[in-house]
Amino acid sequence: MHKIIACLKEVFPDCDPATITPDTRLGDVPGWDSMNSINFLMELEAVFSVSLSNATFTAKQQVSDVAELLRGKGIEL
Amino acid sequence: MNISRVRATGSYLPEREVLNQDLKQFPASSLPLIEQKTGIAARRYAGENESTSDLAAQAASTCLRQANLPAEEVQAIILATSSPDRMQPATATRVQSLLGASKAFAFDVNSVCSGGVYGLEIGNSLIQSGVVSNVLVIASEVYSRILNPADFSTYPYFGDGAGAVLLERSEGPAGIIGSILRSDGAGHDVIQVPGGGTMKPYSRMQSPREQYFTMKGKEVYEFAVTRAPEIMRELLASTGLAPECISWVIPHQANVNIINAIAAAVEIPRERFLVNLQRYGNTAGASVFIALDELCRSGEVSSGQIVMLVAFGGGLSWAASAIQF
Repeated sequence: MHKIIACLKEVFPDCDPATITPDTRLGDVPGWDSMNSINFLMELEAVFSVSLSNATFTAKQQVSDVAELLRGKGIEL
Repeated sequence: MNISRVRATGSYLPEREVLNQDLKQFPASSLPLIEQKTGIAARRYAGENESTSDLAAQAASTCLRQANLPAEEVQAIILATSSPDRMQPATATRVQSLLGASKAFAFDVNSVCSGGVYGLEIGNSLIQSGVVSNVLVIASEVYSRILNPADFSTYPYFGDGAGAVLLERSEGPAGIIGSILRSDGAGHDVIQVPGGGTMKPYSRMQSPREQYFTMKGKEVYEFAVTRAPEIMRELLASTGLAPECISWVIPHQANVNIINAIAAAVEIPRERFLVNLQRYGNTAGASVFIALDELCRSGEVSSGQIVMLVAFGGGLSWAASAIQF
């Protein structure tokens, strides 16, 4: 999970990693918007060396949904 | 009566057109979002050997040709830019050299996307105060060089381009009726290029990303849809103009959704708002001048009509101007 949080911090510098939990809604991450969600997706692809080309993230999803998506791609967290 | 009238306009868009589908560094599935969220379908990028001053000189040359005014008769050059050639000297001085405007004095104004309207009012003030009888106001930007090509939240929005307006002293009645300039320094970090200045020299940057333009999208949106209608209403009140007197509104070409929200908040019909961002993207401080030149060249603005310019951007800054043609 800490690698996902690190990705969030990289894309959203104003977020405080200490406040991010699996239940955190992506839309509650400071700076989150639909355009930056693409940056987050690209950061995950780079860090986890995985293709997420058809994935999209919405503000209503939680950090745990991101983890589930990555596990579905065979990534161990 | 001493008034500044628009004698001529000009613009220059670099040849290289980049469509949304050409932005192959981003996931293909994300590309439709660009037009959905911003209205932008294409933008122009400066050629490898073109800088901000080159674009500015092209736009200015077109403007001076239209006015049939030799460059050596230009008395002042104001260049609005937030993407200058170099940290110093003023980019306007290279434009002066390229034009051969040897008798002018030249300086830059950096009010980011409000820069064109700021420059126009500064030029108006120079004429009104009797310092000069003509001013070449140019706005030129090459954002393709200050954007992070890997940042989806900024890179697809912007394009390069330049516009120019030649103001000259006139007896009226056509000319600048009134302008309002505003800024709120509390928002100085909402839109910024953090690295490369004295606050964070290149030697102290923690990440290469700090050399690039950043903006807080939600804050910019809220700022724009609040302040732009507010300053438009303030300008109508201060000039005594009724909304129906405004034939055309040229808003800063940031995002079509912002323009729609501004139009919905004022008493001026949406069809009077000019929008060209689908072709050029957001050309920052130059966008208002490029659209003004397109309007003038279209022949759709007739003598006596009033055009309102409204711009908003980094600083935070915002500005509006009413001009009678």
